[in-house]
Amino acid sequence: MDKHKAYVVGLASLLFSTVVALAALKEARLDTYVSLFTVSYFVTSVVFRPRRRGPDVVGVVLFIAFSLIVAFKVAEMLLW
Amino acid sequence: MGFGLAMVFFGVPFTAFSYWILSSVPLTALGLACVILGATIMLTPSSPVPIKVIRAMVEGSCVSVEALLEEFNVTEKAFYLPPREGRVYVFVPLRSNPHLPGAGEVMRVPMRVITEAGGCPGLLIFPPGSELMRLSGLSSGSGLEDALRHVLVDFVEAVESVKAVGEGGRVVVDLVKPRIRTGFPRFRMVLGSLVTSIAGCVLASCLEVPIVFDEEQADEERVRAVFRVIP
Repeated sequence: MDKHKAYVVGLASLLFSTVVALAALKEARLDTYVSLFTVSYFVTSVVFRPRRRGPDVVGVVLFIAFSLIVAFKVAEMLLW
Repeated sequence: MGFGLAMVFFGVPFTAFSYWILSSVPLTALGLACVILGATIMLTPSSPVPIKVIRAMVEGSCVSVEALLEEFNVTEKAFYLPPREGRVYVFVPLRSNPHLPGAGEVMRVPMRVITEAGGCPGLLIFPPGSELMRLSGLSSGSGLEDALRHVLVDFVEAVESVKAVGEGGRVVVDLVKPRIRTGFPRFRMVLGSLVTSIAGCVLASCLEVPIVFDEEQADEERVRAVFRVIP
């Protein structure tokens, strides 16, 4: 299997196993899913180092989403 | 690309439908996973320049080297020289010589096709692996095995994995599942097979000393090449 296919299969496995595992645990917070998607995305990117057509838009969007989630959690702890 | 686009087109409405109509977080997450995967497939080409084209070009570049070696009836093993102006060159002695030229002599060879090192006439050849190594953007501080992996596994995808062991002035490189082959007998005899030649260029660049291609054992699954460091 070439590197690109291994990357896509690895990412798909991690994303969908995250959904299955968290759904089995009856997790009802969307931010938990998004945080784990972000971790899965960056782990597979580091392991397989895929070539890209341009800037890593998906990575940037996931990182911003993850940062917002963390920021809201911190604000929640500090303000309430 | 098409599959990625289809996943994004499926994922976006599925996410919206699951979130606002079904109010199901796991299904919303499933939709998001489809969008992420689809966008990733769209943004990561299987290869910006098809890897088969690169391999064909590299294999094709051996033809002129083979012709040159045949013309001069070269049988001696090649010296891979450390980079000059960012490029690795190969010095091939034209005559059998029991006293190999030293590192200093080989590194000072004039930049001509037919040249001389310490009184030993030879050819100065530009091997195919030299430009590959330069284009791969190999950083100067890389370790031996990291550098080989970067060029041979990640950049050219010429082998599945690579190991290198240095022992007493010799470097043994183990290349697993080579994907490019050289059908040129003189090239193989003098510089090693194509993957070995690329490995030789990387070694000369990393060690910054001339190295001689010593021997090679190859089968379908792996290539084991031995290089000798010139003192």
